[in-house]
Amino acid sequence: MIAILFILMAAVSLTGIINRTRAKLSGRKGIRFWQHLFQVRLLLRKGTVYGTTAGWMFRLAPLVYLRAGFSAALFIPLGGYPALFHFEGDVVVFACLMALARFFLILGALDTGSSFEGMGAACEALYGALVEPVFFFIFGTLAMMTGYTSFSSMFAALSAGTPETVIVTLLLAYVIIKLIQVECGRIPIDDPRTHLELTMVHEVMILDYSEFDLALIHMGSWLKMGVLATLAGGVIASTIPYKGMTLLLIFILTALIGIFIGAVESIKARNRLNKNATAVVTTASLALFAFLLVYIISLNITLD
Amino acid sequence: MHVGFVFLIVGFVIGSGNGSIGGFQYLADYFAGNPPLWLFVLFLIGFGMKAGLFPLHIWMPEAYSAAPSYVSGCLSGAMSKLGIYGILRVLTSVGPDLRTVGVILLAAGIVTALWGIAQAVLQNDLKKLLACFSIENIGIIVTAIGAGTLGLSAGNQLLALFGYGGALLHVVNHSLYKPLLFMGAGSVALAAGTRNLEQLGGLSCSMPVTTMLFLCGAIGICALPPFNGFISEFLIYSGFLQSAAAGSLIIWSVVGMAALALVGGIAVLVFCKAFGIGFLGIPRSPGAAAAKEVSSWMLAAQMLPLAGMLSIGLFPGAVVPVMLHIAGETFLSGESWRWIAAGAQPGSLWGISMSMALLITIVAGLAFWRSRVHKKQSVSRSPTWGCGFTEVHADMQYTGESFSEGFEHMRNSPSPARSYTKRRGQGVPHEELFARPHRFGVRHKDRVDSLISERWAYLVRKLNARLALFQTGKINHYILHALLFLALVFLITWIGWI
Repeated sequence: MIAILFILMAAVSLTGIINRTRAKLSGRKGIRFWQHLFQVRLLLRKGTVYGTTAGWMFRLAPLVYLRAGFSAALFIPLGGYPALFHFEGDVVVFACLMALARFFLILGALDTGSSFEGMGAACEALYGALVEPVFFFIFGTLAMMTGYTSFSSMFAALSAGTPETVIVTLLLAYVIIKLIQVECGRIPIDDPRTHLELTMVHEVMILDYSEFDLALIHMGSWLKMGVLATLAGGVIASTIPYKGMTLLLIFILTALIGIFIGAVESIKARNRLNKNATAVVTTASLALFAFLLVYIISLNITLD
Repeated sequence: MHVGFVFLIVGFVIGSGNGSIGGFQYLADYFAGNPPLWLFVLFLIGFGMKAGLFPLHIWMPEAYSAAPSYVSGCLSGAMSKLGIYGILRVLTSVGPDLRTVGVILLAAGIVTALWGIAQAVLQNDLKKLLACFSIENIGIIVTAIGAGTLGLSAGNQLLALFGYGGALLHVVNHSLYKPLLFMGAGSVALAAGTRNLEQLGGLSCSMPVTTMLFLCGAIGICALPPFNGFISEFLIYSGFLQSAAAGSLIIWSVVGMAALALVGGIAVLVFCKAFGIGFLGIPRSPGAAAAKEVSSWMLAAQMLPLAGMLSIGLFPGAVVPVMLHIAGETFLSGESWRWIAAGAQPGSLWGISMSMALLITIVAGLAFWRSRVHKKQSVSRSPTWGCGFTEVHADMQYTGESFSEGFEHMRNSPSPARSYTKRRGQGVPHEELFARPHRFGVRHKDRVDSLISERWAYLVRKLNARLALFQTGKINHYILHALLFLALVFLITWIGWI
């Protein structure tokens, strides 16, 4: 229960942290910390405009996007506290729910008959396809390290705290941050603030959504970021055996992840679109590297 | 097909050990005595040709797209599974040397799945796309069988059970959603008059039921919750994950998982293309614009597999233990696997059912909230954002070719020009003063197909060119040939060779 509350809190705060970091790094005062919440509240109350070419898929997609994101969040534990749903193999359900959310968003984009949205859909489908192995490299590594296949059990068992565990979890957390950049459309994969359609990937898919549906999609994006950030923070923080300190550490780490993403957004530009696929494959090879590292460590090779 | 048959005959003759064509029952004795690898490879080639393993898959796209759609559904749903059945029957008799056999199966399965899905991305013909997708699913099934065999060889009962059980369940699932998809493609071809994705579109308004059914099939085949494809892939992934967690066959498990994940991700891309370009958006041709919903009988035929899919997807606890039991009875010895089958799954399956139920409930809840909000405010229509273009046309939408361009670019980057711009004829000559109609198109040919069939066709043409010497057109020459043939038969009989 506490896990899902923390994820919801992280989801609504991360955007504020990222915006505030970007503002500070550019020397601005920045918008209000909770501005995105006020915007969604406004969107929920306005009237909706639908495109003339949009069909029922366009209206179904935001519902499934938000719901799949929320279902995925129900599997993530918080340090030593288990998640609401936990069973053997729930990592697979998590990955497939994230894929379901992406699938419906892409189809909703294609339903508008707009060339911009098709372009974003094509890019998003490709990056999503290339990023799926990353999930399973991470889960395979965690399963190999802990001997469990459920998020809650894995995180509970990580608290051995040996130096190797800490280093590997740092690497895994970095890979998950790169995952956030791909899945949630952050620099260097996608620029969330550009207004030029040809340079958008995620934003252009939601170009034709208005008001209620747009609010649902914003909430879904926040949830995805909150889920993955909690996962990253939890992976590192679980190596500490004390429950109270773990909570505090996850809190700090999630905030740090937000600051890191905001800093990257301030410093870097988005990749050229034809280099983005290579960037995603690089993330996959990083995850593969983490797996191989853990495998070699587990072999206990001693040089005499 | 006949080539595969020859391999099978040879395999059965060798396997029965006494020169006659035995059945499966003689194989166990053969495998007990002799090393199983070569005979197994013979059978794998023979049955693999039926099932569609790489590189014997080249007949599948052409055959499935040429057949009527309901027949294609039966072909992919039932007939190709006979190859899988054959492989499994042979596998029950194989005793020693399981590790090599398992590695061969796993590798063949992964390569087949990757090749099949890479082909499917590039297709723009709806039925060819579905056929290439069948190749991918066969690859997944064989990967799972390979995983199960590797588990058997390493004594990992869990991986063996989940591998074989997952393969069996995937066979059932595939035979449910593939006919649904093929029948949907047939409905589209009938209503819109074309199978080409570049000329479809906008069918979600004119053919809503067919679109909904195809969507359910698409979600099922991409192994996404809440349909049945997810359950069988969950079993296979679970097998891999738990064997990685237990520490046995780690490299194979993670390689298998990552390959399956990549295949699954590209499958999502393929079906976003097939469903999104084919059914959503605006109609790209007059045929698609004139499409109407097909008859209720055709729709009812598609509802049957959908019922099966939903029941397996939402209530996996009824089907999965049966599959695991069958897999265990057939492949595993001893009794300890029963404990694993009974104990490991109920929590997971119940958890999956609960989360699916929650998913569907809250989607309904959100829809209800949205309808309440819409009642209070205005809902209006306006043209899709065109960035200032005033004459937005259906041609401006993304096409199937452009959707897969990113993937194609990645795949073909060593030699982009050579691989798909094979020019037939001269193109547009420089001397052409007055424009004549020309046809240009892009066709993606399977490289293995080109290698095998073009070489083969080339050889046959060359041989026939030699034999054309005998075709003089004069009847007296032909009578001479007949006389010579009779003389040859008499000579051979007289010498006693026959």
